[in-house]
Amino acid sequence: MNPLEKTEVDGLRFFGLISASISHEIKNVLAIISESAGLMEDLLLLAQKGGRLDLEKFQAVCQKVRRQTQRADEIIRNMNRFSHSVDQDVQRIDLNELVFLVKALSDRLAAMREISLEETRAGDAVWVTTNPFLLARQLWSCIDFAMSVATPEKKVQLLAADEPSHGCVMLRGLSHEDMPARLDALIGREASQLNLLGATLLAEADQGGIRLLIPKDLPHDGTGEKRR
Amino acid sequence: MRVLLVDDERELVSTLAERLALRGVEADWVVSAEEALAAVERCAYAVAVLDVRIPGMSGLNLKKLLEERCPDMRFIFMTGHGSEADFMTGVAEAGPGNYLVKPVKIEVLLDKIREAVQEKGGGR
Repeated sequence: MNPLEKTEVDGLRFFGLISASISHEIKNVLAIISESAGLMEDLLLLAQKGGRLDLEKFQAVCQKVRRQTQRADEIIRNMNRFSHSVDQDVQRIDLNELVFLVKALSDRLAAMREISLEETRAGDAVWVTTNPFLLARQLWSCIDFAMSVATPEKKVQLLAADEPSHGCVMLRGLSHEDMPARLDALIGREASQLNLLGATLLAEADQGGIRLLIPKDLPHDGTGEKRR
Repeated sequence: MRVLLVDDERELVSTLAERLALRGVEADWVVSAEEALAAVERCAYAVAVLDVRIPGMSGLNLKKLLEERCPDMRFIFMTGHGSEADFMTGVAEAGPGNYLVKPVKIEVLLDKIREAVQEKGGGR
């Protein structure tokens, strides 16, 4: 498989992973709404048979439905933003927004590994001109790596930052022991994609983390062809 | 008859437990494998209803651990996943009738729980 084919296959796998995770979460939301509707019917049936309608309980179930509807709305909004990340090969984006999106899309996958992801936003927008889908996948790859070497506290922090020549995403909360060799392996696996993004992945040993440097302006058109 | 519900979706298991209680089934609920293992130390359950995927452990692995502690316990699986692989694994582990896809109809779940209890009583 040549580097471009590998990038396409990795991209499709990433899209599939996120789609499957979202569909699972939506299924859960629907199941909760369905059970809540069922519980409301149960309570009404009891009242019709002469029992007392527990208004507090009924209200609590209504609130549960409202919370889950909001949750579904947020999931679908993120899915929609993610889907549109493939619209253009190159876009000017705020790294804060992309980190927030990838973190939100990864939350459930992290929870299944009993890891919590925490995001700290840079004060101002961190603008980079890049391929948003490739960068989203690269961020996921970093998150996946970070989770595999997380400290026993199982908290991975994500921070976007503006540097003079780069946008930067830092992931912290990583254990020192295994990290260097495993990071080298990751960089080897991701070389073609890092190259497409013009990005660099580095260890931040003193901070217990890694750092992804993204050029402020992609040197090509997002598919590897030089920009004119 | 006492049932243990295990699913990381707190609002789902708590609502299911309430609905089962209204139908005369005592149901406790927990949201992790760790809590499930602690719950069976405190109380005897006839049936456990497990999500196929729970944080930190698959429902199938949890079933094995629970079986070691409670050999008479019967199991029903629930899943939100539609993947063929999950379905086949779930069916193989739980049996064709004991693998439910969310959202689950409460009457169907209730029937499955009763069947599992009868099966247990029959000394399978």
